[in-house]
Amino acid sequence: MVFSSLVFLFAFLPAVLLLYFLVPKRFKNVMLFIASLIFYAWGEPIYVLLMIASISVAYVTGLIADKEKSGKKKAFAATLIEVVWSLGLLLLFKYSDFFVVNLNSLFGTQIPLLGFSLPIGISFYSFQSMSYVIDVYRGQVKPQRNFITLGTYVALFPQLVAGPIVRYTDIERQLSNRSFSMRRFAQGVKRFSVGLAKKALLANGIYVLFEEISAADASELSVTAAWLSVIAYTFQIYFDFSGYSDMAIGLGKMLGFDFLENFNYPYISKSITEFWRRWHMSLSSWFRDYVYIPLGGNRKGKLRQCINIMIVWFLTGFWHGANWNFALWGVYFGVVLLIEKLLLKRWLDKLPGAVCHIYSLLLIVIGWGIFAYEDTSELVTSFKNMFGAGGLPIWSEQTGMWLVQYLPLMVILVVASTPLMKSFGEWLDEKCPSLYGLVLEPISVALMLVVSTAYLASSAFNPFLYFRF
Amino acid sequence: MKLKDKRRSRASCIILIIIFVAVLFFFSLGTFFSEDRSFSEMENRTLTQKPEITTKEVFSGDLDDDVETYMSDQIFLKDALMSLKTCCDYFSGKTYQNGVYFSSDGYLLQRYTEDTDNIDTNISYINSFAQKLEIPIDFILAPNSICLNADKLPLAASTDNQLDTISHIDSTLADNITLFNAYETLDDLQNNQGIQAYYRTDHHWTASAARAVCDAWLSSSGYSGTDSDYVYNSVPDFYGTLYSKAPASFVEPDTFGYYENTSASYEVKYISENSYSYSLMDKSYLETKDKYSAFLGGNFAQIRINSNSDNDEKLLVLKDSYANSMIPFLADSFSQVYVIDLRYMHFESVSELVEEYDIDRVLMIYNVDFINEDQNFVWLE
Repeated sequence: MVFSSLVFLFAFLPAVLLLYFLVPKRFKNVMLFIASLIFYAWGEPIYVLLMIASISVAYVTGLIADKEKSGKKKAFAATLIEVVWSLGLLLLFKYSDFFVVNLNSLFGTQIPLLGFSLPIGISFYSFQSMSYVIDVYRGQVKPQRNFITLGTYVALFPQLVAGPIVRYTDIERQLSNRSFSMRRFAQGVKRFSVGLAKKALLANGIYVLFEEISAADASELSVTAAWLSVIAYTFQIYFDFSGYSDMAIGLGKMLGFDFLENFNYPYISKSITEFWRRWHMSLSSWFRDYVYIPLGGNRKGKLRQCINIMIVWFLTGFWHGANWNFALWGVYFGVVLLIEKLLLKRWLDKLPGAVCHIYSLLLIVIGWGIFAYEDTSELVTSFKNMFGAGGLPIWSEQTGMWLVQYLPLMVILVVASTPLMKSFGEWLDEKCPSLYGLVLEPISVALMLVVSTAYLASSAFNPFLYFRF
Repeated sequence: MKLKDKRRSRASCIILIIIFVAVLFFFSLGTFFSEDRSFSEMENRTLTQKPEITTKEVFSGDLDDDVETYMSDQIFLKDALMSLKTCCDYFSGKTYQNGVYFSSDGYLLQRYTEDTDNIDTNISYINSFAQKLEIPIDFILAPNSICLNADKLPLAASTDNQLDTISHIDSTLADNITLFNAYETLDDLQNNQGIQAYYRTDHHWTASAARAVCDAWLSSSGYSGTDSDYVYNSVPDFYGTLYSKAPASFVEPDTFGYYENTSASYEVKYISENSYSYSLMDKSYLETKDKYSAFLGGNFAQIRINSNSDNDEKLLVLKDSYANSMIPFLADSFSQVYVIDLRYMHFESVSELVEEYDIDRVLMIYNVDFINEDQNFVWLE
C-alpha cells in the first residue's frame, strides 16, 4: 500500500487512527505492529514472511550483540550474522538477477534467472535492522527485549516502504513510552497534507510532462524538449520522494514519533557537496556512519579518503537499483565530489552565488538524466538529444506547446523547491498569528487534502518512484 | 520551525485536527455508505464493482490494484472531484487536457494529428471497394470543429490542418468517387449566417450543419433540397463527449437540437437486431446525457429506412456517427435508405449487399477524425 492511494487515505488510515486512539496504551505497539504487517501484506502477501524473518533475526542477534552480556566474540559473531543475513537478502532478492544477466553476457553462460520480484521496502528495512544490531554491538543502545517493540520499529508503516531510514537510537524512547500531544498531531496533519500535495499535485503533475515527452514522436522532439524532459524528472523525483518523506514524518507525528528530517531544500545547494548534505539525509548519514567511517573515513590519509568516498558513492548509487545506470549515477557523484574536494572548493567559495547555483543545478539535472533511464540505449539517446548529437532541431512547435502548458506549474515547482513559502508563512505567523493559525493555515490544509483527493481519484498517473529501491 | 511550533495555539491545533479527521471520514464514510454506481454517464463507461475477495486474490497481491480501481471508480462525489481536478489544471495553465483544447467562446476543440499512413490505408480500401461498383458513389467528407474554429485555439496550440488532409484525400480518391468537401458549406453557415455548426462540448456537428451540408450535397448531385416542413426542437443542458474528456465546471452546456418532419412516415428496420421502429428519433435518449444517440438510437450495423419520399431511388449510406443527424433529411429524399456502419458490420460484403438490395447510389459520410483514426475500413474488402 502507498500513502498516495485512496485505499490508504480513506480506508486504512481512518481505521488505524480510530483503533490506535481507542486501544489502551500498553496495546498500542501490538496494534501498530499488526497494522503495519497488514499495510505491507496488502501488496506483498508472501514477502511479509520475509520481513518477519528479518525482524526475528535482528531480535535474536540484537540480544546477543550486547558485548557486556555475551562477551566480545559472541557479540561480534551475532552482529556478523545480522549483517550477512540482511545483505544476503538484498543480494538474493534485489541483485541476483542483475549479476546473473551480466555473468551470462560476459561469459556466454546460460545460468537461469531467479526471477524474484523485488520485495517492497527491503532496502529500507534491512538497513534499519542492520543499524539496530550494529548500534547494540557498539554499545550505543541497549538491546530490545520485547519482540513486538522491535517489530514495531522495523515494520512501522509510515517509514516502511520508502524511509526515511529511522535509527533505532532516535526513537528508542518513543517506542516504549510516548504520549499523545495535540500539538504534535496537528503538526503531523500539516506535514502529511503538505507531503500529499507534493506527491499528488506537483510530482504527478510534472510526471505527465516527462511521460508526454518520452512518448512523443521523433518529429515533435527538440534539444530544448530533451532538457525539458530531464528537468521535469528532476522536479518529479524530488517532490515524489520528499513528499513521501513528509507524509511519513507527518504520520509518525500523529502516532507520537519524531523522525529526523530527510530533505532540506536540496535544489538550493551551491555545490554538490552541499546537495548531498540536503538530499536523502537519512541514507547518506547511514552510509557515513556504517560504511565511510568504519572504512577509516578521512583519518587514513588523502588517498584512502578518496578511495573511501568512491566506495561509498558507488554503493549509494547501487543501493538505488540493480542496474548499471544507478551505479554510474553513484560513481558520477563520487567523482564530482572528489573534484570539488580537491580542486573546485576554493573557487566555489569565491564565485558569486548565482554561478554556484547554476553549476550545481546543471550537475544535478545531468545526474538525474543518468538516473532516469535504466535502459542503456534510452540513456544514450537522451544524452545525445540533450547535447545536440541526436540530429534534433533546437526547437519544435510541440516544444512551445509543452512550455506554455507547463510554465505555470514549473514556476510553482521552482518556488516550492526553495524555503520561500516557509519563510513567508513564518513571517505571516509573526505578524498576525491568529489570521495565519486560525484561517490561512487551516484553509490551505483543507484545500491540499481535498484537491489532492480530486487528483488521486481522477488521475491515471500515480507512479511511485522510490518503490523499487 | 521548533520555535513556531511551540507557539502554535491550542485553537489552531484543534482546527487542523478537525479538518483532517473531517476530510478523511467524509470521503471514507461517504464512499462506504453511498450506493455503488454501475455506470458513469459523465465518463460514459461502466464502473468497477466491488472485487470478490478470494484467498487466491489475496495471496497473489492482485487485490491491491483491484481495490484501488474500485475505490477510484466509486469514491464519494467522483464526478465533482473530476471536475475539480480539471478546473485546477485549467487554472494552472493547462489549456490542453486529455486531447482537448479549452478554446475561446466556450469551445472545446479536439486536437487533430494526421496519421497519413492510416488515411492512405483507409482510402485504398475505399478505392478498391469503388472499383467493384458501377453506380454513382459520393463521399461527403466533413472537417471537424477544430478546422473551422482554429482561430479560437489557445496560445501555442499545436494541431495539424485538416484542409491539407482533405486535399490529400481528394488527390488519392478513385475517379468514380465524387468527393463533397463540406468545409465551404459549414464555413458559410457559421461565419456568414451566424448559425452554430458544431457543438461546443461535443465532437459532433449540429443538426443545422448536417441539414445545410445535406442540402448542398443534394443540389450538387442534381436533387431538390430538404424542402419539407421541418420543426426544430431543442433540448437544453447538453454536455457532450468533449465535456466528458475535460469536465470543467465552468464549461457552459450546449442546447441540443434536432429537426422533425411531421408530415413524413417511416419504417425503420434494425436488420441484425430484427426489430422495427416508426420514428427516426429515439427520444428516450433526450432525457440522458448522451443526447446525440437520439438520432436512430445510436450506431447499428445495418439499418433499413423506408419512407414516403417521392424519389424512389435506393440509397446505401456508409457512415460514422456524424451521418446520424443527416439521415432524417436523406430519408425524406430517398424512399429507401440502407445505413451501414462498418464498426459494427464485419462479416458481410458491402459490394454484394449493393447487388442484393438493388442499390442505385452509394453515399459515404465521414468526418476527418474518423478517416484518420478508424481501423474498420478493412471490412469493405
